[in-house]
Amino acid sequence: MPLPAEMTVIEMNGFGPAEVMREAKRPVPQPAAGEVLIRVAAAGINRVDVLQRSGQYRPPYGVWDVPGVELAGEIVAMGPGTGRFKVGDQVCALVIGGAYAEYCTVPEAQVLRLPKGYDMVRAACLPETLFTVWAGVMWQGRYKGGESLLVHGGSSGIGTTTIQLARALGNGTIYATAGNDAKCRAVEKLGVKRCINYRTEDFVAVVNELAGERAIDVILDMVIGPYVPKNQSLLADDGRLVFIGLMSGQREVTINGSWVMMRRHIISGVSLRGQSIERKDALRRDMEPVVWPILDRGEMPPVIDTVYPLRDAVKAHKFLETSEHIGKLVLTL
Amino acid sequence: MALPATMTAIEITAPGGPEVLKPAKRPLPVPKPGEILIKVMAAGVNRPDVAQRAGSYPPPPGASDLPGLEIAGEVVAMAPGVTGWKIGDTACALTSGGGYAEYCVAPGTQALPIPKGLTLTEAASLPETFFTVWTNIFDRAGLKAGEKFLVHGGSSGIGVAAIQMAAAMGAEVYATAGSAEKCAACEKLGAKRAINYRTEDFLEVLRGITDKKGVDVILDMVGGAYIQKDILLLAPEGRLAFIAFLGGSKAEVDFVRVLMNRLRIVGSTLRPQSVAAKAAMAKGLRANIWPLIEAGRIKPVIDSTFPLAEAAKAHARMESSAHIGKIMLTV
Repeated sequence: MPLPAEMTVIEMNGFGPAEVMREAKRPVPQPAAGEVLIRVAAAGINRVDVLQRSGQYRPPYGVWDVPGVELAGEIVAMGPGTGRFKVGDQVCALVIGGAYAEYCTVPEAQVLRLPKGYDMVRAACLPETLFTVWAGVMWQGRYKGGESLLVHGGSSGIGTTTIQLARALGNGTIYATAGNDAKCRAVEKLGVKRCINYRTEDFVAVVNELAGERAIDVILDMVIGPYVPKNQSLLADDGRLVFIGLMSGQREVTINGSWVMMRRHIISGVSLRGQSIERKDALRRDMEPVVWPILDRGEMPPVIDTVYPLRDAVKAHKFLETSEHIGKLVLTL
Repeated sequence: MALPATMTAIEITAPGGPEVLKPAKRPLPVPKPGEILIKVMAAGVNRPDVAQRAGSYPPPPGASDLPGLEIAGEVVAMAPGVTGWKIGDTACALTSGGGYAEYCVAPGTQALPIPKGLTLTEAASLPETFFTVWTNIFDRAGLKAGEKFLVHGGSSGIGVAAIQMAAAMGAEVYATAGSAEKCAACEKLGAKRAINYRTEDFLEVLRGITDKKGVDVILDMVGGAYIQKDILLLAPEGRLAFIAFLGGSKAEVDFVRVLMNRLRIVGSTLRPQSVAAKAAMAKGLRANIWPLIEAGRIKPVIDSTFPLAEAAKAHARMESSAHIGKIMLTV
């Protein structure tokens, strides 16, 4: 089937509120060496898309005015030097940008097959979150199945995936925080011992009471700011604190170095997009053999909140910005 | 050879200055299962000894109240469960305390042979610093050949060991130190460039030298205002390891850097770690570093040697910070 010359995309007409996004026509991109061209069936929406749209984050390379960092679809063309997949394969992929479009090019290293029983919408929710969780929880956090875990933002896409992965890897006790009681109860259903409503409860007091003092092995934090000393106070000896976002917006934070030294804490940050294609390839090689069998068994179902048609990207971003959602928002084509 | 019932040791008679260190008679320590008893010929003086003497660093539960974390000498007794050692062997060992004495016990797994070509005094200068450097920069911070490495306090005992070990393992080494003389000593030991922190800003100098790319691993025993500069100097995937905080342990850190550059902040102190953890460090040192010492590529740097009875003078020397390399006691 010949490819069209033009495609529909959602482009950003400058930086600002959701309304800066609009439909536009662009030429269909050609896959370069090492890349494949995918006809997009679904694209996941992520907070980084909102940051990019509002001008707070500029991708280090690649498309910057068409948002979207993950997609699922069918391979329609292959660049030189590819071959792990073939034209016609149904896949999902992590991209540097440009997924809010009918077609998107992507390094083959960042492409994964659809897990068994997954449709395009569910598969499109996987890449950004799974690559990020693997880089954060497994690489930086060195999480081992059976360890205790505290997940802030437990109802976010990152949060739910982290909880599901930890459940699949072992029987460790998991705690989480979320912003209202409904979210907390939903998160507890994933296998969390207790999800704490951070608006009405003191998470440090609750975790200390339930787990004992300094009993948490790994903490995943996307808030930073005032959470840093609180998290450090909960960590066990040899505990790891992983930062995966800066929701507090507070850039400068005091760390307690003597706890790092005396209790052998490891404090680290993770960001996915700036990593090289080589590192993303290494992440995929490390993650796929562990995570894809779990997905094939249906053990980590993505939690999807709402599916929108591509043209409703503005509406979808506005909803994401309310933080009312539980799970992922997805665009379909 | 019959062992005496008592020995001379240096006691901390009360928390305070160097003068509180006084010789005393003590019963010989008795090795517990897995431990060896060493007749001490030399012992190293370390910062934690000074902190313990001043009262700010109490020994961990079960450890000797006597100072001294590293020794070299002759194995004179063994408890059951020791493998790889026999009576009459010479060894250097990491102890959990009690090194300022004529006899001292250590787990057999924390002892290492005297590297060929080294005196017992030189060998006694190795354990505390080499275990510390190994576990922090190679294990926890994962320094690899070809990476750029910065050590603060380059002329300290830890510093000179870190410079030599990192250079011998193939890293590009930088150091900071407090005088031109100390900087020259660091460069002689293998640092590509040492920065005099009294006259130069290490962040500025190293940004320039590395073409703004920064360094991969920093070993920091200063802390305080250095911490934020360390964070700003680290390259993507960079690692910062804390082993002491002579300048304070709390600092404002730019977390956008931590996030965007995927930095890792680690640290450890040696003493409270398990015997199993220390055994793993000994294994790593024996396999990777001992051959480099025997090949002459890493040499102990001894600043000065005092008789055991003059331990107070040795502490005063350490607190003057005038030393370059290790301060030793001989028995």
